[in-house]
Amino acid sequence: MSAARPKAGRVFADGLLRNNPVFVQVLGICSTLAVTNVFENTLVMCIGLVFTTGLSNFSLSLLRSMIPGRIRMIVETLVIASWVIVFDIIIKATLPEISKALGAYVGLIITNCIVMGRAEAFALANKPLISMADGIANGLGYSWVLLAVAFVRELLGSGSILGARVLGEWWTNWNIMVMAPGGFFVLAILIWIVRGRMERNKEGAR
Amino acid sequence: MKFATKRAERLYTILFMFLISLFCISILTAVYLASRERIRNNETLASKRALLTAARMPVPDDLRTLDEIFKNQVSEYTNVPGSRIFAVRQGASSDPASGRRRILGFVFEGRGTGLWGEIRAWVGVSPDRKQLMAVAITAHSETPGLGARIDEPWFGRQFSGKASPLVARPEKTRSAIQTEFDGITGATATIEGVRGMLNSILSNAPAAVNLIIRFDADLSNAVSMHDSNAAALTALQAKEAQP
Repeated sequence: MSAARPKAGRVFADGLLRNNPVFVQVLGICSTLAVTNVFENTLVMCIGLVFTTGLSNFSLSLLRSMIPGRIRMIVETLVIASWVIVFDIIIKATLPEISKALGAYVGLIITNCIVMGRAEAFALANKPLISMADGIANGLGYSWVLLAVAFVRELLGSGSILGARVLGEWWTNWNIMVMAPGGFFVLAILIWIVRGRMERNKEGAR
Repeated sequence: MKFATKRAERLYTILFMFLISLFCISILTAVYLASRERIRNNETLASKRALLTAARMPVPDDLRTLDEIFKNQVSEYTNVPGSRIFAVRQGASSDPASGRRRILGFVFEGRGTGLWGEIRAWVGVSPDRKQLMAVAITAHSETPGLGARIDEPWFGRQFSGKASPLVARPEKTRSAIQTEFDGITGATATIEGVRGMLNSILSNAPAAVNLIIRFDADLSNAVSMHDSNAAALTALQAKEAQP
């Protein structure tokens, strides 16, 4: 039993790359496309997701032996929604401008498959602290992919990063990068590069 | 025996759901109550700052100065059905004998329809009720990076001196024509919503101001003073232009 217990290092390596929620599990794609046209919004969305996955995994793991099996998904949704609302209230009180820019996107963290996916796959079977580590790792794994996509989209779509002009007046903005199809293209190219590399590494190891 | 176990299981499920819901609601209520005042202040502050931006007034950083400006220089009028109008006056009197303060402009609450939902704004209108002073977008649900760019400062500032009927031109045209303004590439529906909202405010502004000055003698005097000064200036300019 103790041999199967997951280690924090492995949990982080899995969440960030080996079992990355976007590249490998292909979860959270809707928000990847929706928020990544502006880097700042993406950053806040990522912080929100790390906060929610970490704390919802922790809380659900604490409750795991008490939750009746037939209502476990309702309980998961309730706990996840509560943490998302707490995050929404915190940014409304401390970062009102960003809260306004994100609008409904923060509320949509509740429907992000990664949060419930990690609760089902990990938190209900493991202890609270390692579950929290798994939530944070998967949140970070999702975040770096989103931030990479947002970097490319804002740079090519608006010629700026974090709202500061980088490419100068000579640059003609690629409007398609700001629209949803731009998200599809960048994400697909990124998945192609990373998965191709992972496959090559696997073959090399064989 | 089996029946009793099933019943106990059901009771436990109901009780657990009730308790976990109660716990979550209590936590959320506590967090909300702890930050309610701050959120309300943030909203009021943002709205007041946007209103001053629309009136092309300097926007102070501290809440106390902002409150002072609103107490002394800004008056709200709600007697025009379905519309909120603010009159913005000069801080100190320009005529010490009468104590009358010059009118700097009017701010109208604008509501338009964007691509995804309602667009709300404070719209500054000049004392002659014919030109815009600036526009400050206060709420919208437009696409980030495209239509959402209507809340960038350059977009609202460009309306200074613009008049009806407004027409949108491609982004970065920077037209000197009074009825033309820069749109945003890739946000045609949003710009149409803004254009409609501004044209409607400009066409209704003279009648709305006539209505509010009926109930405020001081404002009526300030507007008449502005109009007679403007008429005298126009007559003088016409006389000077004659050969």
